[in-house]
Amino acid sequence: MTAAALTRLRRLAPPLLLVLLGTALLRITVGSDVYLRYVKEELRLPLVASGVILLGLGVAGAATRLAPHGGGHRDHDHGHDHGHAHGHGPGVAWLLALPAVLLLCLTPPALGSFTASRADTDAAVDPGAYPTSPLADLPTPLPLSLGEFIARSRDPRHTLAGHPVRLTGFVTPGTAPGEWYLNRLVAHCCAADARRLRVLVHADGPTPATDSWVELTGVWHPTPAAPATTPPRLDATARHPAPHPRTPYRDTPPPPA
Amino acid sequence: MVETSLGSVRQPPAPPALTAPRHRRTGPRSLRTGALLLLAAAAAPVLARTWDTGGLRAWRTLLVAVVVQGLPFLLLGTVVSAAIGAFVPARAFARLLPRNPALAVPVAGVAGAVLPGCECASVPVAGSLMRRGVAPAAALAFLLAAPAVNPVVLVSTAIAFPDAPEMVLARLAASLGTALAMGWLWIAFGRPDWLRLPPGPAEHGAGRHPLDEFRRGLQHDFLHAGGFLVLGAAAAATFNVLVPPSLLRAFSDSPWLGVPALAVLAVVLAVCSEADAFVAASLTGFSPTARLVFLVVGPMVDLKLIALQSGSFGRAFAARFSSATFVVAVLAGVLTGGILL
Repeated sequence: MTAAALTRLRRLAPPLLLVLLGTALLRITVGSDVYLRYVKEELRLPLVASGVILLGLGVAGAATRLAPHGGGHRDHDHGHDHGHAHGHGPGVAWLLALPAVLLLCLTPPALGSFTASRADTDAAVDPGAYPTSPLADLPTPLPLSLGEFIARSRDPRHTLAGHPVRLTGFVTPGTAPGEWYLNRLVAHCCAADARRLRVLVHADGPTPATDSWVELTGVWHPTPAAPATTPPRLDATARHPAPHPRTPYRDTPPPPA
Repeated sequence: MVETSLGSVRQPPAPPALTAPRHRRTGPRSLRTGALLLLAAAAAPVLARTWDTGGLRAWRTLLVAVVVQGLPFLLLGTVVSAAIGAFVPARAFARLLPRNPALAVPVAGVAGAVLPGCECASVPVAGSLMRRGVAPAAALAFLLAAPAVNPVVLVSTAIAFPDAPEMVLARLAASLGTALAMGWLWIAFGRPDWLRLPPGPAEHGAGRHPLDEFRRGLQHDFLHAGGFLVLGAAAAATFNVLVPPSLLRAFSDSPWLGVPALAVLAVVLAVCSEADAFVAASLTGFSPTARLVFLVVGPMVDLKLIALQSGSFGRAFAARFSSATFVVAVLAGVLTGGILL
């Protein structure tokens, strides 16, 4: 490869990096829900816009640099070797290739048991954010989000007592046999701020595989002596494998049966 | 197609940047970047062998999440910054702000508080404000205030602390106080040579078409800041995966250890200012003052921001400014917490 061709390739590299990044952003947002593994739903439009802008910027940059005399890279060649290297962009920019390639080739999964098992505290559950009305007139088993189940379990009126409920989440191992946890991760902005919600499950039979999503039917088991921060206990009577939810970091109740 | 052509393009530029530094500033920086990359490459297999694969998987997800979350805001910030560089006359902002920098600081700080902005966007904008003649002290007050206090952040704080509305007021007071104090401290003690503003490529293009200048400025600023965003995200993801959360519990019982513990946590977690209130709400066992300190420090000093600042203003600046901001933010948080919480 001649030196001239090399220089030319070097000049093309920054626009191509923009194209790569723009393609990656579009791949996880257009016709795909992959972006929900990383950020909140509201960010879809900004991400699509960013992808389009980056793609356009990269293509425009490449076109300018490929044009034989246009775009002014010629006047860029002389007298511009001072300062940091404008010709081929700042070196640190190459780090951007890492998330772009990760998104295009590996698409990391949503956070799961590793994060849920490591967390030392649970997400704060605001009892005021959930209904507290009696459940007696509602269908059984009643689909509940983990947050509502936890909030109701702490309600002094014991609205959960004896009422079968359905919960979904992913599995992490417990400390005693026949005992494991049903978890949800809740994030408000991106996966980095994910907090854990969890319910202690007592069930017969083997513990489901860690990280698998299950739907449980069961009844709340009061543990009056436990401190308020311990997860509530569910005595499960039935369980089914459940599909991965579309929005992994939103604590939604299971769909009606 | 894109990947393969980039793969073949990616190889050639690296060696020249490493071995033939064309400038005394370019050389060490590229060397450092190269060394970091080598270090990361060397550490990766070791990590893969010794560390639970779950941790490595979480690391990748967290890295990608922080970058994907930051990119639209970083792009917005660089678009605004490049537009300022290409289309706004050189002294326009200086005319809008009070001539006395000591008065310009509160004006810029309040402007930052009113405009919804995220930390990824405010760094490039603050840089372009300085290039356009705004007093550094005022631009820095804007830089700190924009992500820390704005309507979106205050509303999410109110939602995260439904039983403690005073937290919103305390956060507003302590964060704005820190931003203004840092602006004034810069006037009193700051030295211009600490700030290294890389001239955007737009600065060179005298007589070039403004649109072309805009495109070049945007590409250059975005790639530069984006690289540092990845660096900060990688650091935050590493801490998130490596530091055991149970370490925190040791500090939660003592009111005096809780404050520095959460202040340091805010730096290493690098959570967005929109979401950090929910993280603070989940940190049960810590005093309200310690949680307030977490909320004040986080949007102003964190790994992602330190990386972005050293990219935009130089490492000498980022080290001094971030450590001073950290101290002032902790003091402001403790003081406000003592009065309001």
